Amino acid sequence: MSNRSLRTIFMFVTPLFLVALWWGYVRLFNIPRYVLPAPNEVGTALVGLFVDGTIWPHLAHTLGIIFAGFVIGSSLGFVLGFLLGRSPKLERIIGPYLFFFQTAPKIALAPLFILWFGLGLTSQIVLVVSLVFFPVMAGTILGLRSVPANYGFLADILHLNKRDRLVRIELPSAVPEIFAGLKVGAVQATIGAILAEWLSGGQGLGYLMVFAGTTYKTPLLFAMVLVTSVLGIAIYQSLAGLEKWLLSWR
Amino acid sequence: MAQIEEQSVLVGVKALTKIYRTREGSDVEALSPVTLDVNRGELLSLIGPSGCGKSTLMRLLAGLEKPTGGEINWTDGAPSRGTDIGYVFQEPVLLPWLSIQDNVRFPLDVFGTPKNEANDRAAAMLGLVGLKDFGKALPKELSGGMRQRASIARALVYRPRLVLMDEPFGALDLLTRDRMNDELLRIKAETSATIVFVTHSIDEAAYLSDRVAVMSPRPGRISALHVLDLGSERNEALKDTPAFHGWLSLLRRELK
Repeated sequence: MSNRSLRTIFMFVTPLFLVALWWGYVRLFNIPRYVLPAPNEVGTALVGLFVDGTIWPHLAHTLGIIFAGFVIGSSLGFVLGFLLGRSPKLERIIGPYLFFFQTAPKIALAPLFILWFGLGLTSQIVLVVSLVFFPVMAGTILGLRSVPANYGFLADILHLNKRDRLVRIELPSAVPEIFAGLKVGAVQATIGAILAEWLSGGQGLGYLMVFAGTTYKTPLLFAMVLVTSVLGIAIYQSLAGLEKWLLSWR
Repeated sequence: MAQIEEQSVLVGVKALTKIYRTREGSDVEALSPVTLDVNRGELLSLIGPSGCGKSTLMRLLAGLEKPTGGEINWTDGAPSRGTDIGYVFQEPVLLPWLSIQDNVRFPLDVFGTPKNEANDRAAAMLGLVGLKDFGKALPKELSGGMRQRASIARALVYRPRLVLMDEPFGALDLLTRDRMNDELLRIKAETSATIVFVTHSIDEAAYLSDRVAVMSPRPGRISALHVLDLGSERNEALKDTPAFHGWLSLLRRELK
């Protein structure tokens, strides 16, 4: 049998086997539904979410927070990364403080954000922004710092002015590193949004998970884990796709 | 020899010195007084061991650094804009996100040449270096030799007054290098460009050059300057002639 058909078989057989194992375990040991629901119950809950439309407003809310936080966070990250990348002096002055905030667990700052910005949208977006900001900033700094010295020499020969140097050489050259930061940022944004909803607010996928957990609707909780995982993968993959298209020259 | 006397000087270097200050504060004389004329339309090779000041001289000619002493006199006025100097590096230094055509066009885009004209000139230049069908390719899709052709096209596309080539074929394998040497002779004949060419290879210097300046290190200076009377018709057959071998052994002795 060829390697490829084997792989195709395993692609279907492995998950089926795992689900069967799960199902068998629940049945055999009579596990209570609120501890570990059977796969078919999780399936029913998942389908139900979409059939009766419960999921849509929550999904929209979460996507909105991710989007807003990602756009604001990556813009701020890019601007500050740009300034720091261009000015090592500025980096020496404010770098240590940034490093302090970068290493501080942002999750631990969440209660502080809630204190400052209330239980609403603002604090949720602020949390996402704080998570997206640093990887994008770091990527931008790295990208601008790793422009090959040769390109600078070429720019010198052609007497490029500052603007042309930046737009035609330095920024395009920094795109791969910036994108690496954006990809990390996107994953962080998804986690941050769900976590923020977990902590505050009455809407969103995170809220729905808390709701399912506290009311012992375990099949719903499992379904939500699936939904959020797929959401995370989808967001990452769309950025990776954009990257592949933009960076086809690599 | 009469022919050479008729040639006019493009740029004259007079008693040029360059002293670098090291981090410890001591001075390093990279170039002790160097005097040299570059004639219009010639290929002048600079040959010598590492540290002989070849690169320093190139950087000074390109205007990338200021000399410590001496002067550089351009017959038609000092270069002021990017269009005056063409530079070919040892590495092709193509921008990887631009197609080959766009890389060759890059200087024209920067200088604000009208789009149609830029396209035509880039296309013509690609034809000249034998890359006519590769304009749309990305640099990564081309071999090392082809990339270096593209970088030569980029240096020539704006018709600079002086083309500086800093070991342009040093990173290529020998076969490709031989082919590129013939290409360069052809390109030079077609464009009548003035070229200053840095190389480590005695063979390359003898094969390509109208004149060869032998440089020696510590401090960097020109120890000998030769006019190579090998004619303007250069091809493989030349490499088997006694005259060519005579130059090879002479240059080799001087570099010892």
